[in-house]
Amino acid sequence: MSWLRRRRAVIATWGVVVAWAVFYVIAAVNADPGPSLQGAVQQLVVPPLLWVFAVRFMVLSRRSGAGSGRSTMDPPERLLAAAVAVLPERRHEWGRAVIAELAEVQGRPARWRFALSGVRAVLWLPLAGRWPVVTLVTGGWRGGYHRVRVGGRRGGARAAGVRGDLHRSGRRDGGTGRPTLAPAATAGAGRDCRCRPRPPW
Amino acid sequence: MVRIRRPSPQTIAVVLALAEEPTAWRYGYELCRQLDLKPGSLYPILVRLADRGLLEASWDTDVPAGRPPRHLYRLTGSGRQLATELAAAPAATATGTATRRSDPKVGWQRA
Repeated sequence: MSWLRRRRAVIATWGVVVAWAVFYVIAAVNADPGPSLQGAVQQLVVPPLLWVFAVRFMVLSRRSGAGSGRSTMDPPERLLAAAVAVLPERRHEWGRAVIAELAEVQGRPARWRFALSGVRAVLWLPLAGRWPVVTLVTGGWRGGYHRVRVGGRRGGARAAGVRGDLHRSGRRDGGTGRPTLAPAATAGAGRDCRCRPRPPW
Repeated sequence: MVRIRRPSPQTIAVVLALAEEPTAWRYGYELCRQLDLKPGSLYPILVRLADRGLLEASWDTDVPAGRPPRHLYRLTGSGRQLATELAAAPAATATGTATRRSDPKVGWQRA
């Protein structure tokens, strides 16, 4: 574990502990009737432990070390991998082909252009009713701050602000993404997936 | 009854580009640059051609270390035959496109 990641984990841990303590003290002081001493101690200790565990897990898994696969992927490749992950099994080969070609593209703007166009290509392949999943993945990708145009609508854009994280178990496995998404992403998906857009060809 | 319509101009361009060297394997990105097509246009075309048995694909494992294997494409016998037909009737392309737009129900690509 690098020094930077350790530091982030420690800061996140203390941030959670202090924030919970402040919140709980304020809540306990204003509670009527106030909690018993034993209950107060339990509630002061147990919830932050869970939060600390969750936050440290998030920080450490998001900042995985070298050789984990994810650290070698840049944002365009992650975006493409997220789109490929929702393809049916029989189309995974084509998705991997697009990802492999992206590796040959040099320059950040060119890579973004290729990735966005590749995502469009991947999403136009038959998805067998997986549009909600597509919207979830694209909307939740890297926090959902990126707008992905889906058939003239802003798919995933309504999930903006949702923190999401995409963990990949392998670089060449066809994109077995495991998105972690907030409920707001689901709301965005519901609105965006009422109809399947018409393919451009 | 299924009517056959001409492929789109982009599809024709892809088929003819692949037919320039029928036995050679081509990369997708190479075709993108040659034809000035975006991947979002090229790959669906390649998928459809492959689904119709006009294109065969293979993985190129002879890649530099750290790079994923790349997909290679070339026309099958049927694809070469289609390329020959398309090359023989280039003037009909515009007519075919007009027909396609006026009659969206018939489709070479959706057949």
